[in-house]
Amino acid sequence: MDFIKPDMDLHFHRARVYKRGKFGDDRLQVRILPQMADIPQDELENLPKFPCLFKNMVLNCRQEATSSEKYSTTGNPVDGKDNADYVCVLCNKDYTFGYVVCLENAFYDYMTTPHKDSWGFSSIKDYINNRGMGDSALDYDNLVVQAMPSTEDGGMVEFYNWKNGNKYIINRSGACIMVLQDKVYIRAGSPGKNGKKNPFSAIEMSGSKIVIKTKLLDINSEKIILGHHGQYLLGTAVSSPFAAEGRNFYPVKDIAV
Amino acid sequence: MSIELVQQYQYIYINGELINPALISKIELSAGIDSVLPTLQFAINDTRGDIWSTLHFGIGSDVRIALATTTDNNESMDAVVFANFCITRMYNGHEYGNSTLGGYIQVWCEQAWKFYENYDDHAYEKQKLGKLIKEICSHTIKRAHVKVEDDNFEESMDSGSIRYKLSCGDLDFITNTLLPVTLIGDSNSYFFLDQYGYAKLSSFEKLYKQKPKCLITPQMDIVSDNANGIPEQLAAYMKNKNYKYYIPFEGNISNIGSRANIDSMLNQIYEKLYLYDNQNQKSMIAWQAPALKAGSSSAKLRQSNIPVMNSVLSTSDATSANFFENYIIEDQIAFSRNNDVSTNDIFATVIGIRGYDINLAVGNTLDLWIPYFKNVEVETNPDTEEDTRKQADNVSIHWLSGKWLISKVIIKHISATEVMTMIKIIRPTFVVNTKTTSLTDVRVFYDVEGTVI
Repeated sequence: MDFIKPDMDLHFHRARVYKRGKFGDDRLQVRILPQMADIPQDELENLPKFPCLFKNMVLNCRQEATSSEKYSTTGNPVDGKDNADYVCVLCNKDYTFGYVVCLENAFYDYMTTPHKDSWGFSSIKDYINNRGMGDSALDYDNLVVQAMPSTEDGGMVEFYNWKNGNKYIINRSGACIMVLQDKVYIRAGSPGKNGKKNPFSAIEMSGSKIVIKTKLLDINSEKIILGHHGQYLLGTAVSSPFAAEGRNFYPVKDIAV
Repeated sequence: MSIELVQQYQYIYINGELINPALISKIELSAGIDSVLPTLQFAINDTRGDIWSTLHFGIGSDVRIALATTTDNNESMDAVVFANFCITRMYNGHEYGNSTLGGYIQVWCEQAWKFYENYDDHAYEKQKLGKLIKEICSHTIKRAHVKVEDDNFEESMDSGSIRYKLSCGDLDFITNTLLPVTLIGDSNSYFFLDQYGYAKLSSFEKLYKQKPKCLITPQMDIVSDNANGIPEQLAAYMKNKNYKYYIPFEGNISNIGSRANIDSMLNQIYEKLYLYDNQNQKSMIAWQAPALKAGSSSAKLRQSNIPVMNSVLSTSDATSANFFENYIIEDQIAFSRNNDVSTNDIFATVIGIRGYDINLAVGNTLDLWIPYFKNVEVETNPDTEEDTRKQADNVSIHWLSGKWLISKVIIKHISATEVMTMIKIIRPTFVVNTKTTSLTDVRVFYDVEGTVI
């Protein structure tokens, strides 16, 4: 009998996450589909556990096995067969050696069906333009989306403009970081819609100025220099105007030292 | 004494119905350690086309074959029943003409497991591979007729692992997924069903270590019999080894070097291996030469020399190179050792025996006893032109003698009452007693033990 050297290549497979990794063991336990669709219930704990392909990367997500995890906003279960995330795995033909490459999209039929999980480009564009953070090249064709997780408890989108290098990270809560060619914008909280005013803070920084919007600016620093006039800010324990040495002093009540 | 096989009747049942033995011809039952399942082929002489025109069996029909042995006086009959087979193909050449479509219905069969594989999917818990293979065999579908006995399954050397049987049958899973990574002892592993349907998991080394089940000798015409009609030296040997009978063989062919695949055998004489331990991120380069031997060598008994010249291994960089990756290192090592199969039958002898003996099961060992006569005188009778050999002095043992592993058995129909058995026997190294064997010096051949005489 001639020995036939086995197929040693790694193959791409689609897999449903059966169990997330845990502290001390970051591997994902996966059910490769459709091959592992008919594994008996009492053998599911033997499903393969693969680490992430890329070093220093840990991927955790929703799992097939039920758990006590619930969304804080709705109380719905996080995990379960219908909620579980799918990943792309790379493994040998015997499924004994492999890696998790990334989260995986569903595959749609050839050409005709739109991607149901497509990202909300137009609403995000409005969001950015309304803050003056848009640019002339903020076009669907110019953007690369790097992450856009979304669950009942929240979501975010991270993308950049490959044409001019502008970078955007926007959380569903309204918090965002935008690093543009001519300015940087950081915001926490959301101003609200339809006349409703919510507290929020933002810093808009350009080459010539920094605009800070917030209810309270608390600077914890031993020394603050406001302009370079060679004079000192005078502090007073009273909030009313007072006179000294023939001069009137008017305290600025909104600045406390 | 030699066995007295006089008549061996062959009976074939299809779907439980006996086929008239007088109509059966061309039976060939074959089993081998590297062919996994035994096969059967026979022909039914359908002179008038009656069977072909009222065909009541087809692909998948059950076939049983039995061999009944009687002695001269027909006082008793011992029956041997072989494995369960199923029909895989039929052919009729219509040799008796187009008017009746009569002819020889040739029937090909394979052991029933081929048809009745178990396709359940499993993620088997962590366990040794030998144990897992036995578990799978124990849970085969009943109609596969796989016979499982504890003694036929050797323990494997691996540390145990989780394995996945997915979208494949159990036989396919054992042979293609588990067996290549199963190591038993220090030699490659074998899994097969013998001609009786018993599943066996073992290594060449373990198979070869078995005690011989029978004694085979050439049909001798040397005039030097003892009182029982047995040559004196053979009688002494039988007494010494406690053999009750011997089986004479009629013809043999001996071969050095793989007949099946010369390239494969040469590649495995001195392999350069590239392994990668992913867990420790280490690359390993190794050279693998045949390690299998008939036994340990001593000054008197050489059992570890293969028929490859020393100079090949001492001056060659390698005869092939192979890399293994993307498996745990334990699997890679098993792959590389199981890869080393083509040198197992580097010595092979094919022997023809009139009749069939129950001990000639594939995977058994046998004892081959061949005397080597020096100075044999041959006298030719001028009337009959027959040669008569007269034993001269100084009998020693031919280097082909000794223990061999039966790697293949073919039982062939000669007539309704007679069969012939062809066996292929193999061994990995010379077995040479430097005092009594005809071949006294094997130092020019590569020693797998690396010992110096």
